[in-house]
Amino acid sequence: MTPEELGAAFEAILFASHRPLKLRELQTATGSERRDAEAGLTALEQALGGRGVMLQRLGDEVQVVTSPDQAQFVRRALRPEVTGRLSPAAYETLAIVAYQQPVTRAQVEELRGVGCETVLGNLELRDLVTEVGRAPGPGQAKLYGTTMRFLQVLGLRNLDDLPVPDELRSAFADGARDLPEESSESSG
Amino acid sequence: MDRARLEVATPVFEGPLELLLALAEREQVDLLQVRLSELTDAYLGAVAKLEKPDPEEMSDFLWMAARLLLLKSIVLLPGAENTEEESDLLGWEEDVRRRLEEYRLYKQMAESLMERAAEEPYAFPAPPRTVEVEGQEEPLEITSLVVAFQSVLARIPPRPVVVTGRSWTLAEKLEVLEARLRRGPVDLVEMLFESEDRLEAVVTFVALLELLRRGSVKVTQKEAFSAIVVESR
Repeated sequence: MTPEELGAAFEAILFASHRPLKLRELQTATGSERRDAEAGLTALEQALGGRGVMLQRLGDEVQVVTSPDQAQFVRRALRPEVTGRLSPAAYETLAIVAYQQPVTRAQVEELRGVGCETVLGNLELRDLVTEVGRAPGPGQAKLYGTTMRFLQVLGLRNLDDLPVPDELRSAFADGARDLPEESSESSG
Repeated sequence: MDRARLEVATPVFEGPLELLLALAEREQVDLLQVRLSELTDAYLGAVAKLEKPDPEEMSDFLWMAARLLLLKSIVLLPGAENTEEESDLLGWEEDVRRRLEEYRLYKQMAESLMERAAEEPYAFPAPPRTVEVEGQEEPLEITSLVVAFQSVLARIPPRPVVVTGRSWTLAEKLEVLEARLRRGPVDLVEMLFESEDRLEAVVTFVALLELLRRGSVKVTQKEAFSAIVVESR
């Protein structure tokens, strides 16, 4: 199949699915290799440019969702359930998890200078952050990362879409803080 | 200087870092340029007005106040060679400055996330719906669930002595489980293995039984020894 044909097949599968699908599931369904599947996704993403739906991707999971540009119309038509507002403390914690992931509770607490168990628990309940692995070393602390739902609430296609204020780009480029190096295995 | 502004804008400080940062912004000082001790008076004034019923939280603020006072005393005494303790304290100051700078960056990022969220740019996923497919599995018997659970439980380590895990209530687990099932079906054994200890595994399993009792989930297994899948009805 050409990337375009593969992309169309993925579009159909993802449209009929009510949950994010793993890339592997798409490969199995279409009998395609990893590299071809990636090309198919790229083709689909391009084909969806300017359309009412877009491709959302988090790690190995993809989903077709409505475009944030159309959010107001979808909301008016269907009145879908949306999450309540978060506190500033929750946003701080969410920002740290989003930009530092995978990150342990201790790392979040060091940055904020306060205990974060409750606020992390709340974000987990709201399905905005989740356990994405375990830190090596004693205690095997949970590593937190953001979820598909996090992308949906902020209308992002993937984590590269995260807004980064200009001032911060340079700070991060200078290595203001090194990202944790240990890779995390998804436990799902 | 507009001192009233700050008190109105951010009356609640979660920790000493947040308070210090707010003070630096109020005094319009560059944290990388001035000595932290210059914020001592403002900090003490703010701490005096804090209402923190929790002594543990309050102690964090007081600890920072003590360090700031000590730092101020060192900086005020000119000439003398720094003792080891004083050098430690100056190192601590650098550490706090670095942390404040980092914290400030994340606060900004949190604000940019908040601004974005305020525009409500949701990307809605398709709602759950059933797609009829061939080979629908039969619902499982509770007894085979219990057998599977016991075999998993035997493989989860008991609670370690040193590290204190968090404790779970059934209500909490129910919420977590329901949130998870909203995202899609879950492999029962995999989910149980994520437990930090046996207690968590037991609470997870009891929560699952409760959801079964309410009839809000269904548990299926394609064939013997294959994955046991839990999904919302």
